[in-house]
Parts: sequence; C-alpha cells; structure tokens
Amino acid sequence: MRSKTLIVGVIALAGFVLPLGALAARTSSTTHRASTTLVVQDGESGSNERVNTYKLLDQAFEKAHPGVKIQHVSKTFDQLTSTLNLQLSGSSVPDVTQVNQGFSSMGVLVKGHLLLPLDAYAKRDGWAKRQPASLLAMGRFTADGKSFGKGNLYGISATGDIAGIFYNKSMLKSLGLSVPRTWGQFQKALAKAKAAGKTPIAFGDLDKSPAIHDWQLVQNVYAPKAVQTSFVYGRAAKFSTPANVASLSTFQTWEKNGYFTDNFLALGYDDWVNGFAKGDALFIITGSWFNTQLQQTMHKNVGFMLPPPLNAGRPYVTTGSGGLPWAIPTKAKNPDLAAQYIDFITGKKAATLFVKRQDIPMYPVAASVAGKGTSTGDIMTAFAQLKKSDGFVPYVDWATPTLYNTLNAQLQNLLGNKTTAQKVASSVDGDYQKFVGKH
Amino acid sequence: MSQEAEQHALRSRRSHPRSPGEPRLVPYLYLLPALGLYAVFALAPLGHAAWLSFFNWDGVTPATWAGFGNYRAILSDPQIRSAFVHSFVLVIFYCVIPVLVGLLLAGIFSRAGSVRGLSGFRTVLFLPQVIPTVALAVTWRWIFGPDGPFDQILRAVGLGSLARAWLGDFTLALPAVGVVGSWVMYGLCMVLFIAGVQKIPQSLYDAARVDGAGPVREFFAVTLPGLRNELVVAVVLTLISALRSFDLVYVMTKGGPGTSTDVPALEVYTRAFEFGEVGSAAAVATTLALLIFAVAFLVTRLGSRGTT
Repeated sequence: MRSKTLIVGVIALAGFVLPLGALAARTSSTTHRASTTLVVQDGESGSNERVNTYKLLDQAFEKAHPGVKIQHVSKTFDQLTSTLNLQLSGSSVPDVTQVNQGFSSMGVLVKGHLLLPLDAYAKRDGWAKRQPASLLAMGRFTADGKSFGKGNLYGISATGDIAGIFYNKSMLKSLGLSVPRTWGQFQKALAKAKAAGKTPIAFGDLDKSPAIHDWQLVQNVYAPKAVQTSFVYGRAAKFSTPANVASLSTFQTWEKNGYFTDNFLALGYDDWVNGFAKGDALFIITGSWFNTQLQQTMHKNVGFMLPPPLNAGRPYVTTGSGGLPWAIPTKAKNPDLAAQYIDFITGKKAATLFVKRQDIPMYPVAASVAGKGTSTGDIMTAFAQLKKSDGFVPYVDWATPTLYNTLNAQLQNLLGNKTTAQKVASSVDGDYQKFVGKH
Repeated sequence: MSQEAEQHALRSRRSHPRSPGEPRLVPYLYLLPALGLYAVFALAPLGHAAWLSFFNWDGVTPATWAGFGNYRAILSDPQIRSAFVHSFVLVIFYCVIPVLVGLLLAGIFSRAGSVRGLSGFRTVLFLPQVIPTVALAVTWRWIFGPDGPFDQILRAVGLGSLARAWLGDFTLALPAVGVVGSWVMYGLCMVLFIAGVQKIPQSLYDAARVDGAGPVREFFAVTLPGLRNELVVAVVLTLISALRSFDLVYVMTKGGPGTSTDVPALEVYTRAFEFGEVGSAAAVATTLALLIFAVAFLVTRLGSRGTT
C-alpha cells in the first residue's frame, strides 16, 4: 500500500516537474538565441487576412534583424480600444501598438504623456513622402492632447481605408446602366433598380454602426470638404448647415423610397454584407475594409467607385483614413527598434505584400499590382486619385468622444422616421457644444 | 468530569462566551480568509467606484474633483432616465414572468410525482441557465431576425400578420430582449421552487386532499405558503439580473433602434470605455448599485415579514 502511494507520487511528481524543466530549458535557449523581444499589438483580430499579413511581415522583419524575436498580440478593435488606456498607464506595455484615432483614445493618451512623438523618426525615414499631409494629420495631436489634426505625429497607418460604393457589375449591366459618374446618375440608378424590383442598396444597422458611414458618404457629396474637416478638427464649427441637413434628409428619403434592404434595422453584418456578395442588391455603401470579403465571393463581378460628385468635373471627396495607426508607448522598452518596425510595415516592401493579399496599403503602389478588373485595383486607383486632389475627409465622429454613439442612435431614429433631419443636426450640435465647452 | 462540574462548565460558558484569557478577536480570525477575498474583490472595487463617481476622470490623466456634478448630470439627462425606465420594463420579463412560470411548473411537478422521465424534463427546462448568455443572445438575434424561426412559426400557425423584424422595431425590440430574459430565468425559479416543494411535509398535502382540495386550492393553500423563502430568493436574484442586464442588450441591439433598448449598465460601459468619462460611468454604476440594494432590501423585508 505504502509503496503503491510512493510510486504514484513519484509518477505525479515526474509528470509535473519534467514538463516544467523542459519549459525552463526551452525559454532559456530562446533567450540565448534572441537577445531582444519586440512586443507588437494590433487591434484587428477578426480581419484574419490582414492579421496574417502582419504576421508575414513580422517574419520578414525578424529575418532582417537577427536576434530580434517578435511577440505578436492580436486583439479585436473593441478589446483594444476598451483596454488600451489602462494598459499603457500600467508598467507592462507593448513596444508597438495600434491606437484608435480621435480624442477618447489617442488624444487622452497624448494628454497623459503615454505616447512618444514620432516626428524625429518620420523625418529621418522620410514618412512624409509616403503619405499625403491630410492623412498624416489624422495621427497628429498637439502635445497637450487638446487639438486634433495638428502638432506632433503620434501614429502612422500601414493600411488605408476609404469609404465608397461597391457595385454588382452584372446587375448594373442587366439594368442597362453604366457606372454612375455624377450624383444625379447615381440617384437615377437607385430609382431604376427599385423600379425593376431589385434592392438598390444593401444595408443593415442592427449593429448600430454602419449608418454613420452610409450617411457620411452622402455628406461627402453635399457638404464642401473644408466644412467637413473644420467640424472635426476645428473648435467653433456649427453642424446645422443647409448642406448637412440636405445630406440627412436625402438619407431619410432613400429610406422612404425603399432603397435599402427590407427590415434593415434588424439586419446584422452577416445578413447585409453577405447578401450583397450573393447578389441581393445593386450597391453597397461601406468602406474598403469589406473589399477582401466581397472579392472572395464575387471575384471580378464587384467594382468599387468613389461617391460621384454633385456635378461632373468637381473633385472626388470621401471619408478616408489610414487603418488604426501604429504608435510607440512612452514606456516601451525598445523604442528605436519599434520605430524601425513601424518604418518597415509602412514601407514599400510591406505595401507590395498588402496589395498582393488584396489589402490597401498607404504607401503608393501602382494599381496594376492588384490585377486588372478587380475591386482592389479600383480602390488603388481611387486612392491615387484622392491623393492627387487631397480629397480625404476625417470621420465625422472623431469630432467628439460621444458623437459616434449620439449620431448612430439619431440616424436610427431618422431612418425609423422618429425624427427629422433638422432635429438630428441640432442634436449633433448639442453633443459638439457640450464637448467644446468641457474641453 | 462529574455531571455537576459539566453543568457548571456549560453554565459558565453561557455567561462567558469565551474561555478566560482567550483574545476577544479570535472569531474574526476565522472570518478573515473569506472576508479578505470579499474585501479585495468586491468591497474595495465598490468603494473605489463610488469614490471615482465624485471626479471628472478620463482614465489616464489626473482626475479633478466634481462633487455631486456627475449625479446632477445624470438626473437631468433624459437618456439615462429612459434607460432606468427600460430596466424596470425588463423587471416584468426577467422577474415577474419567470417567477409565475416557475411556480406553475413547480406546482405541476409537485403533483406529477412519478411521471416517467421527469428529471429529463427538469434538465431541459433548466438548460437555458447553463448556456453562456452571449451564445444565447447570438442565437436569439437570429431567431428574432426578419424571416427568422420566430416569424416562420407565427406564419405557420396563421399569425403571419404579426411577423415583423422584432429587433428593428422601436416599440417591440425591448420586449423581444425581455422574452429572452424570461426564457433564461424561469429555469432558475423552477429549480428553486421544486427544491422548496420537496421540503413541504407530505402530511400537509394529505390533509388538504382529505379536506377535498383540488389542485388549484392545494397550490394556494399548501405549496405557495411553503415556498415563501424560495420566492424571496428567486425574486431578489431575478430582480438583480433585470436591473443590471447588459450582455443580452449589448449583443442583440447595442441599445437600438435609436435608444429604445438602452439600459443603465450599457450606459456605464459606453461612458467608461467609449467616451472616456470614467467619473460619469461610476456615477451611473453607483446609482444602479444603490437602486439594486434598495430593491433587494425591500423584497427581503417584505418576504420575511410574517414568517417570524
């Protein structure tokens, strides 16, 4: 009996101690080989293709820097934004992390001196040549964290996202339409699709988020770029302008005309985005972030266009920004190496890899790399066009920390015909004044 | 020890609860481990949250004193007020309906003593309690979807005119979320009540039957009074989950359409993690906690009256 217990004990002990010893041996051997561990944190978990691209880039970076081992932590956007402020306030921080643009994330971190200004690195490595000033501005804050869009550079994006309109090529053809070049042509196409019994715009807002992008595309068309930009970066702007109200009422009219997918207030992403991919609707208004997903199902049957301007000849303007910008926490252990990493993932070599994997890099790459007749190619062309006209507008909800929430709720009320365009505009002004007053 | 000495010892123990020389605080030593954990993981965060509610704080930079400013702002905010109203609507679905259904089922099971597969039924009815709420919410989002199973059933039984996009409806989204809450909570109530019923002496039932009581009379005369304590527990637990409900709403509607399903806990989350208004979030959370304490206290007081 005794000896039996002893044997069991020995086995249990061996089972516990041996793996532990092996583990210790393994860690010690890795620490010997790699002298530095670079902790990289992204907030794009869920966009599997993009995260995989980053992991391929990690490997390439490790190869180019012998002795460096990258520990890649992938979080969802929600996880990142809800925990980053606490994480960077603590003592254990990543060397490189993505930080959401705007006051409640990057602004607060700058105010708390938790992010390093990247201007010296940007100057040394020539980042200004890679991206237009209007896009770099989205990673800028004054050192007190109070003014957005100017001051020091705290983050730079590797990938780019623009809002626009995807269209179903074969459906467009079957309706006898060509790709709309002006806003009038686009509105006619919507009416024609509806008359033919098709759904003009695939849309769903159960997630209480897509509406803001769909409406802002309309705003891009109606309101001058300067007005939109100064509302976000400025401090004394008014939202209730005739152009903004017109964009809101057009959006409501679309609902009244039945241009959206039926029961859109009860449809989640899976329903409306996949619905468009399956050929349920003529257009879908969203960001290039859905490109990879649509491309995978629709192949060359999907095209991408910028919001067509009110009149032919006017410059193209759209909501666009880099993806989540990459930044270096003040407490990072290896800031210089971190800057080299950021330089690498925003550079040319990385850009080529992004395009080959149907993603849109910020670094200028010829559209032809993406392949002819693909929506990725369309997006690359649009990107180049916008860079030329400097037509990027920041997301409207960056204006205040609460606007995303306020506006998404108000837009649902608008589309449910519970309120009017004028009242939505006033409530945006209310939200804005509250923030400016406090700031 | 002689009998006399024993009695003396007993008597002296009664008048002196501790032996001479025993330190007064020793009993607290036994409480310490549990109390320590409770203090670190429940009381301290609670106190900290209450403390934070008196500041303006973005979560990163130094906080500034706000006094009762955050509370005044809550009182004057119509959206917060409607969020609290919504949570009281949810009380009907999380608390009242599950308790009634649980009582009914317990009443049935207490009579159906030897039905074959009874424990199987009980397990199935309790199952919603065991499944993670987020998984439930995702499933019910689909069930309530346009042309989802719920609408299909309505059409199949000839009620097609009632079919709609439930979660996109400004007036019906909240009840739709509530129905899921009822479905989750009634299993808990049922299990509590069934356990309570088994504790009621069989003689009471026999007496009731001899007196000629039918099933309904028997339920009201024997089962219901016997379940008083369980009833209090069930009501308190379900009330708390109604008032603090977050996960179902967050996954199913995010408070939409508009703000028609907004609840206080969702406001706490958005204020703290999206707006960076930690003080204001803490104020909503503290108000909610006080409300829950008050309601729970009231229920337990009402429940214990008359039993002692």
